[in-house]
Amino acid sequence: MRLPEMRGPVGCDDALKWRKIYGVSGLRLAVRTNSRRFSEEFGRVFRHFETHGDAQLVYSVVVGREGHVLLRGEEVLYETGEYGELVPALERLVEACMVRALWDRPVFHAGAVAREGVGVILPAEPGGGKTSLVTALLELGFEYLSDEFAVVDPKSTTVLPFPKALCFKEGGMELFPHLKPKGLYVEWDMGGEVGRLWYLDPSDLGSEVSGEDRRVRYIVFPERDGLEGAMVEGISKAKAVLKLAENFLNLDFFGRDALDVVLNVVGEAECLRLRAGSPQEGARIISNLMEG
Amino acid sequence: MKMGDIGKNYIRLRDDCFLVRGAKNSALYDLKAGRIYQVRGLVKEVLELSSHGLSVEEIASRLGLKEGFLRVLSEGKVISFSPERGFKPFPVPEPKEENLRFMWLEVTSRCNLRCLHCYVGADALKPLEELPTEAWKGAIREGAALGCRDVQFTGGEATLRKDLWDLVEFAKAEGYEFVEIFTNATTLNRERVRWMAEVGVNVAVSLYSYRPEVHDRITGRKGSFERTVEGIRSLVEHEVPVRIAIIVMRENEEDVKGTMEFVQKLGVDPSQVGVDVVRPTGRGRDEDLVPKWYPRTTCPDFWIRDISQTRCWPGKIAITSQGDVIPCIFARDLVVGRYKGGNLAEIVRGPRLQKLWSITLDEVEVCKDCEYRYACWDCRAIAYTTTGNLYAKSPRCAYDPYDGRWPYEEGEMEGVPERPRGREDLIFREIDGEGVIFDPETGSMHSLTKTAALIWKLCDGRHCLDDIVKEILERFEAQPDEVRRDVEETLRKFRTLGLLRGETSGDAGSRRM
Repeated sequence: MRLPEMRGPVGCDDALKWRKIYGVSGLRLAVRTNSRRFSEEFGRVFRHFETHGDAQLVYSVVVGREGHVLLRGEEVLYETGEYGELVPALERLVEACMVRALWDRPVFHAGAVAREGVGVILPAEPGGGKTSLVTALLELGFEYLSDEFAVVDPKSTTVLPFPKALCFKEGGMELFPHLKPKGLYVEWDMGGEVGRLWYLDPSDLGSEVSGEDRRVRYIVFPERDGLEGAMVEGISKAKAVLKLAENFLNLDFFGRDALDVVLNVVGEAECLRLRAGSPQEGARIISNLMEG
Repeated sequence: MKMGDIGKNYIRLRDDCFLVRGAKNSALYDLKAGRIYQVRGLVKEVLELSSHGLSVEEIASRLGLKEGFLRVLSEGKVISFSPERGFKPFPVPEPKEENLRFMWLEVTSRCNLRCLHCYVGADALKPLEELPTEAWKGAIREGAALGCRDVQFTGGEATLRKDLWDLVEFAKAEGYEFVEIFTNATTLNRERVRWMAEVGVNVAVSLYSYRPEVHDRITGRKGSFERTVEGIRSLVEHEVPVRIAIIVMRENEEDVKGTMEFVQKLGVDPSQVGVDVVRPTGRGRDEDLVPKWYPRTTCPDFWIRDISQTRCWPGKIAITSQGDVIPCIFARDLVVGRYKGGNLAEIVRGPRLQKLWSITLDEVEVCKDCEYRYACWDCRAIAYTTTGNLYAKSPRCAYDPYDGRWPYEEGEMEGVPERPRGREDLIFREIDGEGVIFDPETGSMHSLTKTAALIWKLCDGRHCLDDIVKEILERFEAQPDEVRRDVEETLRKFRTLGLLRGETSGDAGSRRM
């Protein structure tokens, strides 16, 4: 495969000289690029994962005049003519790689926050409103753990921080217009339509990133059923197990133990489903609930 | 009893007619007419005895029949009377290596819409490891070399790939006779449609309702209805062969007829409008999407001439945007290989895919006892994605071969196993009285209410329906009739989901309780 011409736009250089190391759960990845702009932008997304040392995997991002390429080692993973696609594309690749590395810890598709040491996870599929709800909770003073992945220690049933920048899609960003200017904005052409994303570091919201694991006390399933009005109600543990398992990203790693792993996480937690007219309303409900 | 001139004769089926036995009933396959007839009651008994070599006289004597009855049977020209015995078994096709006939190329998993039911779970943000242009060309070239002549470009939204048009032209040049693009048609412009007409490409478009608000609610994008309809109009105007797929879910189940009429008014050939019920894959797994009243079940509309072509997926593959090769776009977990350029033949001829292609209903639980098993256009993908068991009966099929009834015969499906027994390889856990069943083979889980959990615990091969009902009544206050209905319903669900052991004990006829 022919790589794109390396002599690219302003900010690019002939060599992949911008290099950062990101780490999670013992895995270190190097991201090197010929574009300072890309290095800085991607660095904003994974800022809290930056580390030092030797990398076990190397991703290269070549920004060119004619097009752009993502590689892992020598393998071309993705080609695009749209610069704006690069950050989300590499984000997905790095996430997938990190999830694979977490072979001994269940990873759920879920937002995760904490207050006063009490962890709340919000399992939902992509587009299910996790980021909006997490943001609204952060604005109420919750600590940030993740807007996408709840990484759980199966023994202590604590949720570990996975503090990637919050990632907003267009509809979600409109719910927080005051935050819009603070985010990293990327856009790309999708056959006449524009794909748009905003990345916000929790510190842009004035929120704290939790440095510690938090015990999972609440599992809240946000729902979008198209009905009016707010509602929060308890659901049975069996139903919660099923719903949580639907968002269990590395279930396969656990084989016959997978059910017991989920049961353990659900264990003593209060399991609820939540419907709210807005993320702010949903966050208020969760906050009030925790205050008892 | 005197049987006149036919008494010493034997009943013979016409050379192109065959009797296939099921657990309760049988079916007569008329391969010349392409029709399947259900055979039950006395006719079934007559044919069964004939197949065991009894003469007309012996059959009449055993069943207390008059000659006239047997003569009437022969009026349909399917059976005749002969001095020689002869009841040929159904010619089950020999297993053979299948050839590649059709490819879905999922060139992207990105989409500008976000449909509630998308089987890929596509959205605007899925640019992971998409195969580059050269790789797709490689797959097209290698597919053609394997004899494949039909290809569909799909996604996500295939037209979001800027190289799609190049790929379509490439497929044409490689000799593909049927080239189709599956699209939501929102990105089509007149220039592109004109090009499609020139190149000779077919187009399939999904439309969910004739009501804009319903269509837009399903696609998650306001204004998508107008753009899709505009696209369809343009395709019709330029005489591009177009077919419409209406996927039925709860949101649009009342709109199906209206949508079909609407599409016809747009100028689409009615024979090119297909209706399918949402498949349990990707976002389509959401149970809230399942239609409430629109029939999800297969009904007896069998038609067969070529007995080697009775299953859906043989000869087909899908290549996902990341290069995974699967036997069907709806069987996303059944990855048979990773296309890396140059290895398509190896995957197609490999044991994994060939095994999937060769599965017959003789290997499938429940279906193996069904008299329609050689005529059923079975969907293994639905069976697998719903139950996690490749060899489970498709939950879309409502026929119960043990009871021999279609659901519409009595309003609902009858028949439950006599002494049901759960599969031993499943893991069951009780939590606050409710239950969860986990199939570690497939990763599928099912939650059970308190009553269902209790029923599951009683599915030990020792308790019959009456025992289970009795146990429930001892623990819960309820009306016996209601409990019986609930238990039957729950057992049917267990069986549909492939949670019960496949073997059955006792006489098939006594399954009805």
